[in-house]
Amino acid sequence: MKAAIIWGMPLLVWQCLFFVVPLGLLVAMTFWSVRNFRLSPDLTLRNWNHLLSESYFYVTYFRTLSYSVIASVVGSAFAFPCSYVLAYNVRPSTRRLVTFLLITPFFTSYLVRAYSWQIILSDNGLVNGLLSSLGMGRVPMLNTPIATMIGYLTLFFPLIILLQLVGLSAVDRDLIGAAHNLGAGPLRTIVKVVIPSAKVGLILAATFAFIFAFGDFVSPAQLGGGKAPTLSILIIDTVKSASNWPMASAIALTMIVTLMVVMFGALGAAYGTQRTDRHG
Amino acid sequence: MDERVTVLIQRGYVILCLGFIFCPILTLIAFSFNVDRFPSLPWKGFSLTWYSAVFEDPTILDAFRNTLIVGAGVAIVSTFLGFTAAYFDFRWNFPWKKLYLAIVVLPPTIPFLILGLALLLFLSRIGLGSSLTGVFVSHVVICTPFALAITRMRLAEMDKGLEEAAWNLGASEWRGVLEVILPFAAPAILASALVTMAVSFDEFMIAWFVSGLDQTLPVKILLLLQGQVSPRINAIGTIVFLISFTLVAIAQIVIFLTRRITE
Amino acid sequence: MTIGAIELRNVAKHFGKFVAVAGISLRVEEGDFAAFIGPSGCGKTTTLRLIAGLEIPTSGDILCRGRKINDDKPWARNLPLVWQNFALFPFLSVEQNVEFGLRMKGIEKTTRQRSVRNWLERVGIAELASRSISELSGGQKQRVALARSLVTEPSILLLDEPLGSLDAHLRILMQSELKALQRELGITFIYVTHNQSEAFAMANKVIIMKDGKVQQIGSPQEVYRAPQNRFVAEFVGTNNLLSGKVSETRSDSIKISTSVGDFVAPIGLQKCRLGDTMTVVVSADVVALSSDEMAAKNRVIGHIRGEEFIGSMITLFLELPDGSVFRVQKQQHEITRLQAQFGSRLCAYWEPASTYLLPN
Repeated sequence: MKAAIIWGMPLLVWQCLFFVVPLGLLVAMTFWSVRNFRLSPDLTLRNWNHLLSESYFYVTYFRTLSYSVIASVVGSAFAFPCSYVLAYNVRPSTRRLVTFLLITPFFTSYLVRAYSWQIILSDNGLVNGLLSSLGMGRVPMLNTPIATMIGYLTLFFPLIILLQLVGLSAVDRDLIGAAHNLGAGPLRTIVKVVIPSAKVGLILAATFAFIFAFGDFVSPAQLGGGKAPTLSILIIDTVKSASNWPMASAIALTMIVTLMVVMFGALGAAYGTQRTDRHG
Repeated sequence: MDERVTVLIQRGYVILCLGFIFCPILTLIAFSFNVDRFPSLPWKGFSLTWYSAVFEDPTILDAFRNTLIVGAGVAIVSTFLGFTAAYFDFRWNFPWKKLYLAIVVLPPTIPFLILGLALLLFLSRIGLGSSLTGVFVSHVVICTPFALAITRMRLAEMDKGLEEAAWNLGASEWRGVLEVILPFAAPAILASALVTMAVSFDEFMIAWFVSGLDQTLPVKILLLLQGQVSPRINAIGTIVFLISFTLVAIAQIVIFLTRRITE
Repeated sequence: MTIGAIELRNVAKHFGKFVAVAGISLRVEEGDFAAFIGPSGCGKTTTLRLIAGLEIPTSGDILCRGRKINDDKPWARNLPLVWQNFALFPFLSVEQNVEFGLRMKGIEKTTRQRSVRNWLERVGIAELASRSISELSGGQKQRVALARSLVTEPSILLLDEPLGSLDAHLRILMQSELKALQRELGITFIYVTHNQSEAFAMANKVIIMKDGKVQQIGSPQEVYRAPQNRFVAEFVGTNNLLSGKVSETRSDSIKISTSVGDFVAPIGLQKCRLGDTMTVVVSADVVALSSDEMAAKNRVIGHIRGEEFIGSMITLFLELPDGSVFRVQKQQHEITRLQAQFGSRLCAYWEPASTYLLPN
């Protein structure tokens, strides 16, 4: 088994050292304090007391949470018709081509793509330019929650489509045929048969969308204008202005805990009922 | 409803979605050639001034060089580590393998904002705080899962008997890896290198935390964005987009062609 | 005492709780064409893999020419294996595949190429040398696999259902080619198959396995005519098994009473006493048929309930009075002479000398 250890250890060591340990340090640091502008290891609950008593924190937290939930739901809803068509109603070659077109931009700079929306949405931008040339007034679109939402979609829309596509492709086509055969119309079939069968892929897609939106900094800051701050903006501000690492760590930890709860909940929702099905 | 109309609506929606995804990119590329300072219509004229401005700015060129150095290093190390872990998963079965995979594959699912903070806190305590080396180390953490996934998928297409056949014909375990596993996985290794380079190339959040005065290009872009909006950003953005796009496109084509041949 | 080519001494292999091979001992001599046969899961492939070193025995010793090879790694054994799905390297051409073993041995290029060319000619695919594997048919791939294994000039060749992926007529062709090759080269073949007729056509020694144990070893004729237990009797050939009790013992024969009649068999090597339970084994191909009731010592009477064609041979299924099925194998023309149809009453009879007894 010596060979197995030689092959398996390198990556494990690297990830433990540069992933697990830093996160552990982050957790520990929430209990440290800053004395005379110096960071010192400690075991104090002061950071937590301070954070959890600030109404500002709760406002920001719930804003971030609601933005992410809305982004996830809206994104999933917009993506679904596209994924459905790609899964069932196009030729394999078309599906491959579109998949290629979805994967590729996902790996290009999100920062650059989000910035590009500024060109389109700004008061002197494309959309307003078009509107004014048609004689209509300018519509301020940047620095609004809508712009933030568009930014989130730019971040994860391709991913949602792909994950939903994978989930839908795994549904047994015969189920759909059987539903039609038994008299269910196309819409009813989608709601009663396809969506429950593709549950895992759909929940996975929505969960990833949530995670990405929840942790994103660029969209609320650049496109949303930063006036309605999210937790990510809060962390960056805490770091940039006050260098208050323990406080920033505490905020980050609340985000991690939230994400873990959401992930477990999503996994439970996705795979939970499968167990009861087998007995039934 | 008429069948043809339904099909048209369906196709149209897919094109609409693709349009949403690509329109910021196309806008960016288009406006990088616009001579006008402000990104607005009507179009003032075609020009390459912003590109020459980019190439004449030493800070941008430095940042670009840093990004390439880090990216190349990340590509090599991530691909290597991803391969070792993929082979480990392919060949052996252990009771705690699921835990191993979880630890090793989890990083990209944690928001980079949080990872960036954690890594800065840790790396600064071991002297890699504000450095390109720190960025390199951090990027390997998030890029290796991609290399692992791509390589593992390719190995799954291999007949396990091939390795045994090599041993049976006189190849030792290490020789077997060299003569059978590596050649078979070569396309995946190439694709991994391209994808990990692309991911590192575009990563800005962790780099913002961890790089110091030696910035990477995405960090430079982030800083430019927070300052005055300049049309140079369009040019940089277009260049960055084209590079990542090319890397990932080639990787996908490699994987697609290999799968075609295997079938 | 001669040293066998391969000897297994009490070799066992457990996978967790599952016993794949349960302590078997056997010897394959130099020059044997030894075939392991048995139902799926009987342990024959595991045994072959143990010999090749791809599995490590849980207990017991494996010897090659008298030397214990338990601790030898697979790449140190020089026991090339011909795989069922060929295991050809897809990224190498035909000749690169064939030269692989020589390359591992460090043989230099010109010698290698000469050997490769020689063996490709010998298996009849010299013109495919530079082709890629994906362009080959199943039969061609099989020959490449064979050449690849033989190019290192081993004295023992292992084969794991090598003809399993080929279609029927190609398989028959390859069987005679393999047999001729083995005889020509004079090396030992250890062959695993689930196909009885294949094993019987090629091997001089047949090893029948079930549930990880060796049931019988012998030449095809021995195993066919003198099965040592019930399983072998049922597995090999087409035998009818009738259970009964010894009702009479004489100096040269025994009478067994069963529910469908009394049968006389010659005294075998087994000692039996009155009242012992015995199984009467009658091969379907030694039975004669008549539409009249024959006054033979050994006969059964039944009605035709079905038939099966294999080429010019027909297997008739007769239903006996107790509901059991009795099989008779005859040439087509013999059956037509009887002018029998479905449901016809027939008398099947055979010589006492053709009866074989198994203790129960």
